[in-house]
Amino acid sequence: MTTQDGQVVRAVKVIDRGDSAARFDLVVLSEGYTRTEIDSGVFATDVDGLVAAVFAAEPFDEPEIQQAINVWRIDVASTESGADDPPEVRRRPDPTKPEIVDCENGADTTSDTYFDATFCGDGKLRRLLTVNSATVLEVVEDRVPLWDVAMVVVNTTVRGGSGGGGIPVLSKSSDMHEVALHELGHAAFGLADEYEYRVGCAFDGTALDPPGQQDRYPVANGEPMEPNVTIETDRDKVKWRHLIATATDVPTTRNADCAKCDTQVSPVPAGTVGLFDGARYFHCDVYRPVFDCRMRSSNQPFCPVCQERIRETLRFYVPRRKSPVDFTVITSVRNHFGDESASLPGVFVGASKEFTFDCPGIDPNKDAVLTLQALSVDSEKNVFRLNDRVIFGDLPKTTSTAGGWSAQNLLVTPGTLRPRGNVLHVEARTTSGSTSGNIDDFVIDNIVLFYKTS
Amino acid sequence: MTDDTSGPGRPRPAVRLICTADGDGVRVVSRRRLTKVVPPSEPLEDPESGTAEQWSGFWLEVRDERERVRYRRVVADPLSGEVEVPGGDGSFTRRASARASATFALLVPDLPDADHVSLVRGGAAPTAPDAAFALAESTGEVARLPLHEEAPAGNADPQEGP
Repeated sequence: MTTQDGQVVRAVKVIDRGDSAARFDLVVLSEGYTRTEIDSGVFATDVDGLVAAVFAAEPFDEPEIQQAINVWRIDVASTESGADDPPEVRRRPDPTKPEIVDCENGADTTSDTYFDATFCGDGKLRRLLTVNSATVLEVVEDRVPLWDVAMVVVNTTVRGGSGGGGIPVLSKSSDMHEVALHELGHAAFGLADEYEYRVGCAFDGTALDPPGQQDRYPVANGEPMEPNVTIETDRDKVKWRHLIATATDVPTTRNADCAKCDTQVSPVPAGTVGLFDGARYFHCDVYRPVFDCRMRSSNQPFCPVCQERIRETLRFYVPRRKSPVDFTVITSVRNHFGDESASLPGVFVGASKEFTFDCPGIDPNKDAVLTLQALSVDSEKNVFRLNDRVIFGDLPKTTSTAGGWSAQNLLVTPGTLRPRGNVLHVEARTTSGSTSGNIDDFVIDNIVLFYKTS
Repeated sequence: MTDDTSGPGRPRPAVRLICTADGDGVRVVSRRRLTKVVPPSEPLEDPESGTAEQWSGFWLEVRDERERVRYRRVVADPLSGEVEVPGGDGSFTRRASARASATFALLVPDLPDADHVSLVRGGAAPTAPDAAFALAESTGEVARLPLHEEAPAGNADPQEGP
């Protein structure tokens, strides 16, 4: 029941949204699958199902979020299928108290598996399914060094699992997918548990703490840092106040008996964001955003607050959407065309000049727009060509007002531009279009081309 | 769309620490330096002061030599000594971990002035009294993990990753 009981077969990128350095990489490892089961696609099918379930759940169903996530499968073959399942043990250490049943209904079987998976991982609760997390980390580090979150799927349909802080372990029971999502909430997004727990709750059954300890959250501990729980009851200071409707009461519920888990039904429609008493294991005085969320009950969707946290995190892994429009500055100085150097401001150029520029990423089949500022353009016959094509409308005349600049926007028709080596030719002419005689004197500045990219 | 990586989540130098926790505390088993997007930091409203007195929960902080916080992120508490077990009906059971040690990974930005990672627990932890780790009920800075290789001391044998 060690790494001697199998081998790491391969790592497969199941969902490839890009370079792992820039994406959120989720890794799923197999445990308790034989080589035959690996090679026949049993684990691959299980991972496909898990991925489909994750990407069907809000907010992972959003296309932009999905662009952020790579999924890897690490095929690890074990000598035998399944996991150790220790036998049930009945004991009565105190004759005055009821019999204690450890590993209840345990099948009393062993399986030689790579990560040493076992039910009843604490010797008491059969559903506690654990693996050797150190070995899991060794394999993940070796095969997918740029991983973000790893989880293990154990090849058994017996209900079980573990999570909350380390590597999530899942069995192939009916709740596998929803538990995986809950554990992702912890492992990737720092979300707190929203359930109440322990003494006084219907499902405690364990004595992890003395009665009363979990009744009321000790407010002196301070505000929880997790984004989905709070002790703040001032509507204007609640960290998810932007999601609370004005008509919603704050607090929205209070637990009438802090010695017990709250059993009231929701007073508001499902999904309403407010302030609901009982969270983070305590019965009172710490609040959750929605009556029921996946971080409280794994079979519920993530509430808007948890979804917001997930989006805020994964936004950092979403490929940057390239702007559909780019621009290039052709010149940003005053160019004086003509033959009277002292007549106008700017750098005197002479009768003509060619400006060479590039348009990286341009879609040459789309329109472009050339903008410029012009001063004292008096001839309609000046030459204004782009890649030997006349620009529609030529260089427009400007007003004759002294010192008056005009801003011009000229349409560049499809097929005119190219990614590199474009040439804008500007040439001063007379009012009749001649190159001899009194050619026009004008200034052009800030020539910018806006173009669409492919 | 493009794989242009110049957005808010541009890959940057990062370091992954693999750590073990047991009765003797927490120690770094390996450090791997990567180029990778890391999760965004929680707000650093006052990097000059600690926050353990103001907040509850568990988080990591990347600090410089002057103890200024350069990065903070809420993480699931790997030292609580507890695990949660799915109940099959959407509920969970919490159990004390039976393992005497835990191995876990942390991914943090490899900032130029970073000195160490502090694991911080604010407020009293709702932990199991029979938790395997002595650190399970500690508060404040419960572990300090150097970001740079140290001379081996005792049984510690830090290994720099590739």
